[in-house]
Amino acid sequence: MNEQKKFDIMNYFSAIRILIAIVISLLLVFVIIFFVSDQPVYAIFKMMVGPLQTKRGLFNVLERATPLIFTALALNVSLRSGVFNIGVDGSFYMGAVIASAFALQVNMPNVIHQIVLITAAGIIGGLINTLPIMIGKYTKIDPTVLAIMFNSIFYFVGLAYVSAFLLQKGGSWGSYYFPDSARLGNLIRGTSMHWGFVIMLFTIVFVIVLMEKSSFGYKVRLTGANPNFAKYVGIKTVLVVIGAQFIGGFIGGMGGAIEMVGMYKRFQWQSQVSYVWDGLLVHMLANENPFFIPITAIFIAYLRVGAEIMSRSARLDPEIVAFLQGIVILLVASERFLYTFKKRHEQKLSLQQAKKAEEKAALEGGNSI
Amino acid sequence: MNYLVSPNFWFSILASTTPVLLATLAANIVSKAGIFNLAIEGTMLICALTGVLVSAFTKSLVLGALAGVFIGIAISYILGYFALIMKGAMNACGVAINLAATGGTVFVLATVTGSKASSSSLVSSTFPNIAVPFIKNIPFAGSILSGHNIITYLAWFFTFLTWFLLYKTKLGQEIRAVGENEETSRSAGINVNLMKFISLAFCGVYSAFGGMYLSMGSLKSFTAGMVAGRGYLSLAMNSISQGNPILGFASSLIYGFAETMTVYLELYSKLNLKLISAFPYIFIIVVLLLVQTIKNNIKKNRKKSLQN
Repeated sequence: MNEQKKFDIMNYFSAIRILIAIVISLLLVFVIIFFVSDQPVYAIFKMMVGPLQTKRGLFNVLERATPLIFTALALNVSLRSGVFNIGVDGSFYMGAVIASAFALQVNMPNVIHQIVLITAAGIIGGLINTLPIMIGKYTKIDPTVLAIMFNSIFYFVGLAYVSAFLLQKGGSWGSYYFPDSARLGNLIRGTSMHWGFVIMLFTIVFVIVLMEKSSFGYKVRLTGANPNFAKYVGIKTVLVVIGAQFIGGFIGGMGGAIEMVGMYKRFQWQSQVSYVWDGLLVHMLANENPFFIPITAIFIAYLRVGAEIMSRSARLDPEIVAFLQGIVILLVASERFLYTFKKRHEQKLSLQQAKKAEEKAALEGGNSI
Repeated sequence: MNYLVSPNFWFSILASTTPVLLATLAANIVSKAGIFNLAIEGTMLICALTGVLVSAFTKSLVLGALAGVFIGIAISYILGYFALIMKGAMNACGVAINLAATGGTVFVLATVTGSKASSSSLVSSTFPNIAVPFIKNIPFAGSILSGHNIITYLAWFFTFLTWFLLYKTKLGQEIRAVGENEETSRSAGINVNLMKFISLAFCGVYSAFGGMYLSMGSLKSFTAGMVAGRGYLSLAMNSISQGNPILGFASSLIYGFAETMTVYLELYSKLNLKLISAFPYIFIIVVLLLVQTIKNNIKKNRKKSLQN
């Protein structure tokens, strides 16, 4: 029995695989920087260490990670039910719109105001995220296509709502300033860390418990892994999938609301924010495990902030991180990446076991005679 | 509503149909081979930039177009390599390419031209507009059908080509067989991956022209994010047309109509501007719902009549 407990590096195969993917794509980005920059070493140094050098940079990373964590958690719940529904983007944007509407058009005392607006944003977000699945269920249209279309629609609807009812006249495009009773207060002085960070921590715990410890999470995962089997053992798969979409969308909408009233003083999102793609990246890098989502989100946010610091000091466009993200997703998504490596190791292991079993059998055989 | 009878209105419908039509054809041919290509959006964007940059530096339209087409096929093959050979999740690979494309084009643009927004500082070639002889002399239809960009005519030709390829040739039959059922086609001796890669090559060519139409046809330069969801729309068009290029052409026309209507409504009505922009998308979803419901009903009736 002891032999099975022996340390085997292959138990960490998925983590190693992701790390190698990250290293490969970082190297590729470094190569690109070497080609286009006049001072490549300085640029790379700034990108990798920049955020650590100032207190501001460090907190920037945490602030930047917050929306990524929310979208990644939202996608974690909704994607693991086995449908590729990215309606969370619409939930996130509309969440921010709903939050702004509640902040500006409803008067309420301090703490209650935030609770109401975040809950409202969450409910709307949840409904938005279930929409593609509901329609897809009855008409058999691909939910991915529907979700992409709905994301555009909700973006324009949200934008129209803000321009029609909340817009401040004169000055740059944006809503009126939020009243203090609606904003999430500062957590640490001298930074823009807000109470949304605390809500985020609770959400992380909630998703971990929901997905990994509760029976609902188990049903979601089972439905995602094999819907026919799930149906066979008596799980109401339709309800489970829709429930997962609603919870995912709820988290997405909440994330949008918290980002809006936490980080900003007024609504100024004039273009599609598209946190969903970054969230997808975080979700995939975390190996679909909510436990790792905060770490990977901070990693991605770190790269983003690093790239921006680099662009300020070395005049390289920060969008270079996009290459890195693309390559990482490609490598992590491909099943066959490092596959032969693992296969060879498994073959070796099973050969060893067979050999041992043979020896054992021979020994026992000898004893019995 | 006077504009409905003006030839300009119908002319701009055909013009705004072109990029979506090309993207739809790209989606059609890969979906017939059983591939769900989210990366059409990114491919178009990359090709739009490639065409502009190469034509600006070589001063040659042909070289720019060739480079665009080459890169289009290359990007499609990157998707094919990771999705088919490395067995990656098709959606995730598409998303990856789109992410790299949206950021990557901005990075390249900023590195080459110094501007993050557009390539207007470069002098790049554009595809010419063509006045079609004989047709241009027909009173009303002439001014609608003639004078389009050469890529528009090319797109019409591609529609026919794709239809002919898919439904009238052995190659097309094999591609469709692969899309219908991979295992059966494999046992019938069809090289499944070869068929998929052939359809991906077509997809790359079509997306490349779709992208280059935007940056070297309807506009004279590349602007960041100029594809603006047309690649994603093509997937919806593909669902409407069920992979048939002729129906794809029809559904792209519907989109062109919706988009042109939007432009005219923005000009002539007092409705909220931002809300009108959602009109094409809502319109497409409604059409999609109708088509799908009708199709489901037909299927149900057929089943019933078979049982009787």
